Amino acid sequence: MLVLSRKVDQTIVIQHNITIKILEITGDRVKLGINAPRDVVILRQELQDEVRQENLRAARPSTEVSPLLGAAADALARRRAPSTTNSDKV
Amino acid sequence: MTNDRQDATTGVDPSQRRALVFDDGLIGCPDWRHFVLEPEAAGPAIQLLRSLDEPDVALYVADPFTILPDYEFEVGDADGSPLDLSDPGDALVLVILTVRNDPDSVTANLLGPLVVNVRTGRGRQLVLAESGYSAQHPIVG
Repeated sequence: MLVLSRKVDQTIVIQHNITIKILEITGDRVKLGINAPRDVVILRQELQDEVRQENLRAARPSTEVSPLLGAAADALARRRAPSTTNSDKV
Repeated sequence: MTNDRQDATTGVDPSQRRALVFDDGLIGCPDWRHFVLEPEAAGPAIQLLRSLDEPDVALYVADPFTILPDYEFEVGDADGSPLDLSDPGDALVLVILTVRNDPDSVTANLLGPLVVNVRTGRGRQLVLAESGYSAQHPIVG
């Protein structure tokens, strides 16, 4: 990990075209301003971790089909618009 | 419409399977790149996204708009241009389901949807950062 110290209003440049500026420091909170090309994904780490952890929880051997899943399938099928299934007439 | 509970490995018409490639894998799982999408894994509303890279990895997926009719988000350039979604009709959105056992329930990850270009067979997992959607949106239980 590269460790740098910055003061308010100072900036770090990454890959020539991504900049991170220290906008404000209040107590233990740092406000950052980030400029990056539109094709760069920027996320708070907690959100990325949350999705990653849910991916890992969701992955399961494909031979298991929990009865709960059948209940979920029924619940979702009931919510579908009748025109897509031609089952119930409303 | 049938309501049969089917084992995930039977009852699938092979011609309905779709090979998909996630060039960057899934979030936090960059090696999960090649999948087969199999319809009707547990009834018509749930499909199985089976990994070709990891034999133990298979994800149940469903249509998020059935789960939450108002579900919506923007696909920014960061995610949109690798997918070439110049025609929005090419987009298929799926969310991953988690079967949980404490308590017994099924939830959907609305925070991290999968967006697939059905024309090219390529997909990405997005993180809807400021959406307020839950990674554990309850469906049953």
